[in-house]
Amino acid sequence: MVSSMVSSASQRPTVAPARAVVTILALAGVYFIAAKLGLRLAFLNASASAVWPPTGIAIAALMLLGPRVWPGIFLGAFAANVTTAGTFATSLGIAAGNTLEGIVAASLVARHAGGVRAFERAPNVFRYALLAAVLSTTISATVGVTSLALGGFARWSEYGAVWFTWWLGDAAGALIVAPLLLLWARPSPSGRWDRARLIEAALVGLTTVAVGNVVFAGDLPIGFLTVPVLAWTAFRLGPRETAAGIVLLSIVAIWRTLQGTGPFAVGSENTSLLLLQAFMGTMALLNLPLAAVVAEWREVTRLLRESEARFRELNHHERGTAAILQRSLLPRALPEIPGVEAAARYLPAEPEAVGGDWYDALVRPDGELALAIGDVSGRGAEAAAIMGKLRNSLRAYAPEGLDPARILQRLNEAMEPGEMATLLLMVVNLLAWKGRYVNAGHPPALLVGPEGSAKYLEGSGLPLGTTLNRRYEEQAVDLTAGSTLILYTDGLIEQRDASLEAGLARLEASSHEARGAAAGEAIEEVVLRTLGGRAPRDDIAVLLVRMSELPVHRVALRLPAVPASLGEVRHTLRRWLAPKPLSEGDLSTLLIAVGEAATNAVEHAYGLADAVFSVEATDESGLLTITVSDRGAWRPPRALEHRGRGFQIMRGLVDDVDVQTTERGTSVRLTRNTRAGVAP
Amino acid sequence: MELAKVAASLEDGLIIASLSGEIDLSNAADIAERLYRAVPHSAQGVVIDLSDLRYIDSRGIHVLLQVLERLDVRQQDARLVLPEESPLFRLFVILSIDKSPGVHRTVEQAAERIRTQT
Repeated sequence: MVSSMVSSASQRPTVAPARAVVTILALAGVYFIAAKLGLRLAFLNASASAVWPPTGIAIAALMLLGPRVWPGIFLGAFAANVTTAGTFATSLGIAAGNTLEGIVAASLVARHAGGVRAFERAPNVFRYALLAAVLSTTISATVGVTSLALGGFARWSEYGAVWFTWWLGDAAGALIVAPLLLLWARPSPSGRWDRARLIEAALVGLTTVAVGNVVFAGDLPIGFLTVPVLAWTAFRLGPRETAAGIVLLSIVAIWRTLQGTGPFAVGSENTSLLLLQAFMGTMALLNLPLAAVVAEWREVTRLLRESEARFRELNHHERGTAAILQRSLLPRALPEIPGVEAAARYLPAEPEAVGGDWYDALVRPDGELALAIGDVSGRGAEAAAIMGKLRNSLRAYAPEGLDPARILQRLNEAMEPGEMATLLLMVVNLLAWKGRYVNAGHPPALLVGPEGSAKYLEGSGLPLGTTLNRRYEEQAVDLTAGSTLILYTDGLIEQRDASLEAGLARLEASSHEARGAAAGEAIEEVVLRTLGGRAPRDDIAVLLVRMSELPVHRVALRLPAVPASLGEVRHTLRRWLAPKPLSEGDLSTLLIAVGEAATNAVEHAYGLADAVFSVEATDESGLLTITVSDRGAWRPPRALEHRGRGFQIMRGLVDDVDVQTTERGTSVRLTRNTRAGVAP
Repeated sequence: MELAKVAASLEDGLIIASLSGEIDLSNAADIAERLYRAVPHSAQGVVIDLSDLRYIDSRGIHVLLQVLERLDVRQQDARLVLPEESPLFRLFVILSIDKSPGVHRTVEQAAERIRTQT
């Protein structure tokens, strides 16, 4: 302990001083120039100005460079004051007040208002305004004006007026100048500048100057005209540009007001400047939070949009272990089933990090849809490895004849000591409109009915990796056509300053808004609304699945020409035929006929990558027509007798079979009449 | 769930193999193999019960018939059971195997026939 303290104490003076001295002197110089400029606008008292940018410089410098640079502020303030008015003693007092104001403001903002990121979150902007602009500035005003009064440079009778000018000048400096410095010192969150944006920025800048001149050079009370210009900047460009716009407008306004024009040129110069500064401070207080909110919404939206593109990109370019891991953890595509719309988003809290969240969706051979979402505790490659294990095990077990509870038990057995994960597994039977699920310590799935009624699917066991309870209980849920399932990880509902219940309530409320939209839009709407425009604090994975009834009159499928597709054809046709007046025998017979035609198509294309076949089923008031088409152009038609046998079977099963073979392929049209009174 | 299941049990020297689920090109060979392995050499014969089968097409039946042939080589009597109420019965009719001697309506009938044959 002692030796390390000694060594760090002995090292510090050898490395830091040269650079620190240069920084402090540079800060003193900048502060001095800004203070001199400010003091030129001191009309009521030679040392009290209504325009005081140094306050903003001091706060920004102390936050960006650290509290150790305070001597720079002290030196700059002292030098500016001692060369303007007052004595050595009053200048010392004023400099002390200015320095203390900056230190207090910076430490309060660091603790309570997000520090250097104060202007990137709307609530922090307001906290900053209260702590730095309103409260801390009273220190400088009180210390400064008292020093002046004690030194005889201000009469005690004007103490109030001088104090107010001082305080307002400092407050305006804190609200107008500090945001500009803080925002521009940090890397831009809004991405690169393309040509269109540069042009718009130039246009906004010119408009700001033009409007400033119109407003502040005339005599009409049209100060409000500055509002739309700043709102434009906040909405279209961002917080940095908004801060710059406010400074630009301030410069034009001060210059014009000093010339005696504009809505604030009333009475004395000091009163005019005070009014103007109050106005500009208010504009800053309005537009900076607005810009922050817009920027946050844009950031979350961008994350959402990127999440899909990112993984598509990752599939093509390997970029390090993290990228490879990430790619292997999430499905490359979601199942495409008629009547089922699925969308998923993965939002990492940090751009390149690998989190512990994952999801998966697959169709089991019997047509059931399996949905999974999980969260492995921990982060980084280790969490990713556990995720990979779980996902691969799930993919191996899901097609087997195991029910969800058994699958979870198997996955639990795959966990090693010290590993922990939550997982929600749901299996949906689209024919019976039933869902079965097992929950191992994961937040409950949300089921949104077609009318917007939402309910959380309760029932949860211990997370995977706990040896206490190895039995998982399966829950059942009835689904209705048009309902939507939302599976998510806790990052969506957890926020630092709100309870879990509040997060669940926000998600439930968000889901109402999104029920009409397409799945891709709905999931973005749900995420945006649930986050309330805040950037995610933790990784978020969301899987949204909407299940609808198949259209009565027509359903179409396009599938890879592989044997596994044959089941998909039957599963879809069963769902489509379920509401129609067919006996079980008639249904089987029709499915066998389609199966014969589809099997021919699959065998026809056998061995060819990317070969597809399509199935189209139509219902014209009871006349069912199912057409199976392949593109057989790549190979001469098979021996006729083989196909002839298949057609013979089909003819025995349905009312009519029509075969069209062209250069482009073979198309088999099966017709079955279910109209009342017509016998097969 | 997997597409089809084979549940086999031994009853008085006979294997009763019950098929459920769906059999198509994607799993026919696999089901045939599982069926074949479910019959030990010691068994006198096998009754393949299709009552609970939900779907089978001509390829599936073709593969089933091949299993019967392979078992016949081992001198094991293998028979299919498909009740007339089965929704799949129509296919058996069209393929003209509904009345063939190896196809029965109930497990009892099939088992009885195997026992009396020997």
